Parts: sequence; C-alpha cells; structure tokens
Amino acid sequence: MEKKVEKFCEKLADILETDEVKLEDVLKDFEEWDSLSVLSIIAMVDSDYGVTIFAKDIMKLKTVKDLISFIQKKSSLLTRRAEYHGLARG
Amino acid sequence: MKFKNKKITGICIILPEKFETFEENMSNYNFSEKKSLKLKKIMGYGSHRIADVSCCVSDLSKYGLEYLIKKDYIKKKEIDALVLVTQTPDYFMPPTSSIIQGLLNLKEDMISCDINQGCSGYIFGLMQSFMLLEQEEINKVVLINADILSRKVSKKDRNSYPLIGDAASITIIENDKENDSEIFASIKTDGTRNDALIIPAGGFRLKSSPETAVLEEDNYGNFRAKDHLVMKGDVIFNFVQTVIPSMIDSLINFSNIEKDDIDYYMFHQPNKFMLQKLADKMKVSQDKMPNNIVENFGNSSGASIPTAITFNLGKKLLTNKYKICLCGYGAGLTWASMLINIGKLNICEMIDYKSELK
Repeated sequence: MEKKVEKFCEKLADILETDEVKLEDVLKDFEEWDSLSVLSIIAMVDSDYGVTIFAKDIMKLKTVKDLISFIQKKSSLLTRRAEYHGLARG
Repeated sequence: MKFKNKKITGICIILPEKFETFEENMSNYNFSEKKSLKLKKIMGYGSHRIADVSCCVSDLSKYGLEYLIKKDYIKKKEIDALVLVTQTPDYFMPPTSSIIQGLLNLKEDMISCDINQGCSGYIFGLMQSFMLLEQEEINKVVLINADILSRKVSKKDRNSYPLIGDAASITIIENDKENDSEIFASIKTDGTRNDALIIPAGGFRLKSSPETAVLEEDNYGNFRAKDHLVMKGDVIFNFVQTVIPSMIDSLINFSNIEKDDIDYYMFHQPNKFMLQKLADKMKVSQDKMPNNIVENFGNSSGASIPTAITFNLGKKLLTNKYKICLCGYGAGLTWASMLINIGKLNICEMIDYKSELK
C-alpha cells in the first residue's frame, strides 16, 4: 500500500477504534460508525489535508477505498486550483 | 468597522440554578453507553444549566438587572437604552425588551429594542450599543444577551441536547471621553446557508401544529420534531473552520495590532472539540482561548462569550485590563468579531437565578 494511504488508514482506524482498516471494508459496518466518527473524519481531513468534506458526501460512499478516492479527488482539485492561481499570479 | 471612546464597565452573568449532567441525560439517547461516553469525552460535555419551564428571558433579565440596581452598579435613571439580543422572546409581540423595561419601571425617555441573533449576538449587541452611544442623549446602554433554547431542543437529540445551556448576560456600556483607544469589529452574513441551524416550525412560515410536534428519526438515530432546533453539525463545523481564521487575520491586519499583543481569544462556545480545532488552525495556544464553558454551563448562544470572559477572568478584570479578541458564529449564518480592551470593570460576576425569589 502506498505510504500516504497507509497513514490515512491508521488515522481512520484510530477514529473508528479498531486495530486496522482495509480498503475493502464497508464504512457502515464498523461498530463505531456514527455521527461522531463522521465528524471526526471531517475534522481530520480538514486539518491534515486541508480539504473540506461534508457528512452527506461521506454517507454516499461505501468502502474505505471510496472514501480515500473521494478525498484524493478533492485534494487534487485543490492542488490544481492552487497551481492555476500560482501561474495566474506569475 | 471602528469605534472610539466607548468602554464596557460591567458584566454580570445570570444562570438558572438547575443543572443536568450528561450522564443523567444519556438514557434519552438512542446510543450505547460506551458511544455516549466517547461523545462526552471528545466534545467536552459535563453539566449544563436548564431554566425551569416557568422561567423566560424577561425573568432572567429582571433578576440580573434588579441585582445590579440593588448593589448600586447601575441606577435606573442612568439607563438610556436597553438592547436585548435573543432568539427566544417571551412573545412574538411585544418586544421582550419592552417587557423588561416595564417590569423594572425604567424611565420612559429611553430606547429599548430586541435583536434577533444567535451565537454572534454578543458582537451584534455591542455594535448596536456603540452606535447608540454616538448620540449625545445616550450615555449608558444596558446590553442583555439571553436565551432559553433548551426548551426548543429535543431531549432525544444527541446532536444538540448535551451542549445546550440557558443563560443571560448583562453588559453595561458607556461613553469614555478620556479613552481614545479604538475598537475594531467585523460582521459577515451568508443567508444561503440559513437552514444549517434552524427551528423549522413555530413561526409564520410553518406554524406549530400536532404534526410539527411529532418526533422523527434522522439518519444517525436522533429523534426530533419540526418544533425543535436542528443543526447540521458538519456544515457548521466546516463553516467555522473555513471562515473564522481568515476573518480574525483580516481584523488583526485592519487594526494594526500585533497578534502577540492579544491576551485572550474569548470565542463563542459551541463545544470543546470545535474550539480546540479552531485554536490549532489559528495557531493560538489553548490557554489564550478558553473552551471550558460547555462542560460547566452549556452553550448559551449569545451569552456564551461574556460567560467565557467572566468565568475565566472574573475578579482579575476588576483591576487588570486585557486586549481581547471576541468572536461569535452561528445561526444566519452570521459571524462577527471584535478587538477590544476590557478591564477595570466595576463588576464581573456570575449569579444564580433562583425562581422562588422571583
């Protein structure tokens, strides 16, 4: 597994109070999956990746892998936008 | 925005005597004890003050004002204006500020008005008071922030009930010709997100009826009716983390004050979690930004900032003076901040409202 993904899974496991999470694990099947864990994920993604996500988006995702791709997509959009603005300023 | 020659000379917090603990509320929630205790730990819940059903905003306000008058911190005839910020008025009509004016037999030659604002309400109230003080005829303003929102929150809503608290605060604001240090403020509005914090029924758009009183379960296992307050926790969280740090940065820039010169960040108190994340993001040490109001008293909307000031600084404010950054954010959505020197107060106290002495 890629290092970044591995790190994310560790943080997710912490929030969900479980030993490890696998990419194919279904989010809703975790015992600790509730509004508090969803908010904790939102807060973690905001502080560690600078990406804003909402509960209604997370609720549409099925697996850990879906969650990771969703955040990656959001964060690459952010990077691209930053690059664009960087170029525009230059 | 800038203001000059104004000062706060007293703050008094009035808290309903009765409190409930998170543990005693826990059985109302549709969650295991383990999950609830985890929520308590992360959000920093403890005990919260809940007003009796007979106690309204005017009762808390009258109790506090009578205390201030009896102890001679203010004289009735000195009150040139009474500004009440509340979202839980006694009636739709008349304004609750008029009721308070009447209950205390205050002079006729005064302005009284209600402002409908929630968690940004302290800054709104201060700004309104400063603007009134610009008039020659007005030398002393009494600002009251009071809410009894516990009555509009479902006991089976783990999302909002554990944090809600009832309280009133009274702030005395005066002209100060000798002091020309400036006060800086900023207020912003985003009404497109007005449904992020709302009580759907009970107004004129959707009147209360047997249907709006029916409890419905949400996606997370909370039960609430349309008569109850509903908060989109994630929207509010993201809103606060996004708009507040940049607002404070701009306010500091605008004021030309060094960030290090700010002694305290007295922010609205939604829960410990939100404030900790905000302090981290703003790179402000947590001892400069207290987050201990919800665990002790609950989130009392517009009264939470003066409660944070009084609980954490109290008597120190009678002798010392501090440069304080105030910030509120909530229903509207509105968010507001202010940089102000507060100190050398005549009173900075918390009192308990005892209903039998009414």
